[in-house]
Amino acid sequence: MTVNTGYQRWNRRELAAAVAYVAAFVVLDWTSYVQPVLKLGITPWNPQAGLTLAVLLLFGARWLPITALAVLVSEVLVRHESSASGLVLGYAIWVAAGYGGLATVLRRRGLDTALRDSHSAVEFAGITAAGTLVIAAGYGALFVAAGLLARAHSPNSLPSLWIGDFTGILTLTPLLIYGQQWRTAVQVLRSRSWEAAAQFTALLLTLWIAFGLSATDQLHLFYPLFVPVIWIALRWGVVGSILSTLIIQVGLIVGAQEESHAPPLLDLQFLMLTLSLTALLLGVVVTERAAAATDRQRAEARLRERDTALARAMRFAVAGELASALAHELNQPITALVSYLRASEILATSSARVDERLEGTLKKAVQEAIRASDVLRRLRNFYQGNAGKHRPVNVGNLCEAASVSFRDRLQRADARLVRRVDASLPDVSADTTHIEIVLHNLLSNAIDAVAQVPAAGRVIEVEARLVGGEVTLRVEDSGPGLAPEIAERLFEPFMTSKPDGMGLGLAISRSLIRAGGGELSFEKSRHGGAAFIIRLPVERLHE
Amino acid sequence: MSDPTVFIVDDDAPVRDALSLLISLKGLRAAVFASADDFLKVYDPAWRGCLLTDLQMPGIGGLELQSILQQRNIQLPVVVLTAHGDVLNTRMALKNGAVDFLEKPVDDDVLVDVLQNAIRIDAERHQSQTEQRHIAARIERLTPRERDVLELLAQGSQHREIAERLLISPRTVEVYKARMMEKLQCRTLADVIRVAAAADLPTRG
Repeated sequence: MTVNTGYQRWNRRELAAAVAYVAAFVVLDWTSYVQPVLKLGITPWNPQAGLTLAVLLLFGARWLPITALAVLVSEVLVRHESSASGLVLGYAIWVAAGYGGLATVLRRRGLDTALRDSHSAVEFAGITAAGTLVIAAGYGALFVAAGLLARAHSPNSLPSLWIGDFTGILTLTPLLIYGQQWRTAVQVLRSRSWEAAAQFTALLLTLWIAFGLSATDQLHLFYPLFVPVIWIALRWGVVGSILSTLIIQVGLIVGAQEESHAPPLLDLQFLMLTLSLTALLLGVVVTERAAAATDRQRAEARLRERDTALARAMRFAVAGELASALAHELNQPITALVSYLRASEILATSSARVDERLEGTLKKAVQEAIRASDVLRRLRNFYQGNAGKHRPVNVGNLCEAASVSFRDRLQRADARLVRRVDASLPDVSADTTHIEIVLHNLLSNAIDAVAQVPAAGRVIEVEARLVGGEVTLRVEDSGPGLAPEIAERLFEPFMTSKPDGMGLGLAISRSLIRAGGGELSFEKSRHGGAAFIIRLPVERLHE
Repeated sequence: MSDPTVFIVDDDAPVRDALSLLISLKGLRAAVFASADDFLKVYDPAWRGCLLTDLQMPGIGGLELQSILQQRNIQLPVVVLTAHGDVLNTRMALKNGAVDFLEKPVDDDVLVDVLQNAIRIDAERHQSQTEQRHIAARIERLTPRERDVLELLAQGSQHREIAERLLISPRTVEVYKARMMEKLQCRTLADVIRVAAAADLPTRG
């Protein structure tokens, strides 16, 4: 069955949705129909307004006639309005048009999807406040014009109507827009069901305090209501906080049904409005912060991953380069050596007489063996002879630069860096880059070490002072320290206690320091962990 | 220098000295060159055997030498010597038609096997070329009529068909055929067809 409304056909599912919407509208209108002012449909809050706006935001302007129909049906069924049918029709059209206009403005401002930040939440609240005010004013004017509402009444009932619509929209519309994500919400709720239950209990308790403990019909004890709302907003973000205000509002309406406790309409309305606004804004801020934190964590994880990948790639590139250069250099003498030895074997076994070529071939083989070992010696000399450029270096400055470049890593590791540098330190003679590499290496190790102890005790100390004509730089940590069998062989290559380490850091560090005439040694730190001591010769300017 | 020889091109003097010694002790002739340039300068098309060249050399490298040989239509089989792990260059060399590769340091048994195989390939190639030249020379000596008979026979025609095509009697066809087979040194029809195939004439089947 399809009905042609002139611009687009409605399919069966949409028609069913439209019928459900009209029914929901009437039910919401009916349940919230307490303390009506002169039977004008002015109630503490109008959830049907929130429903209507959500429907228009989600499904578009073609639902406008349906919304007008819903208002009309509700008027007839709930308020038994039949006396001035022309008036009711005009008012239904006005309300539907008003919500349609509000929906258009919200959509133009990009507020028809989930509210992502506090700015859009404020904008949403502001536009809705203005829109509902216009709708309420027009509504009042219609009735005044018809002579049904005395002019004396209008100043009081107008704010009531406005706040009722405003509150209904603030509570229900964002929730219905978020409603598309209900599966995720249910999953999250299940994972923390005890907390949710405790918060729900707190809500009921504060509602009982507000109504049950009030001796009069004044809502004196409404403040406790804010506590669970704030609690829920902080823990669950915007969806939870709006849901909590929905529960409170249902509670308030149920509580206000009892004649004896019924508070003045405006009191109740302002309480609801304040709660709704507080919950919406606080919830959005919490959600926004959580999203930002997740983004930051993801970015950091990506950065770390890239750093690790880069370091690994560099390591393999260097190792691969070295291996292939070495293989090529060694292959030539070994090829010759193997061939000479094979030839010697043939010469030695092929004839009864000693071939005079055998002696010469063996001599050549020895030469090739020596050539191979020369390749290795040259390689070693290359690495050891790489002593770098010695210049006067201020160790204090290097320590400061290193602590600056490690600031982020220290912060992330929750570690405290104590720097004690003697200001009157003389310069040392060294290659700046070498000292930087070693310092970087030692600090990096120290951070890894302190990460193994509780955050409160994570201390790294860098101390620089003059001891016996040498500048002594100590890097100490409060980590778990080193096992004796590792400490013994600490500076040997390929010695590592880290799962992904190459075990070259300390070996390279020591050879760099030694190349500059210094020494790198290890002892136990008074902080409990490891202490590495770099001793560097002082620069003698006039020698 | 028409005996099969291994022509060794390697920039490393001890390597080429040791290889040539080993190869000659294994019973093969060897000649050494310090560079690709040295080899190309003195190359003679009459040389038989194979080329054993290093890939990484200053100046003209092994891959470049291969392409120069191809440009000059020098069909000497090439065996490349590769350093350990030089997979990319080795693959390139094989793609360019190298018959095999040897990894440094070389195992002497593998070395001899590979070189003998390369020499055999060269010998076979050379033999088929020589044979082809001989056949071409023999076909040159046929008269036009004899050649017509050869071509038609090779395509599978019967004597009578040949006679009709050439507008002569079957008897005359027999005479031409006998003379043609004598000149081509063929005893059977199968021999004729093989000769025709070797001379790139169209044959049936």
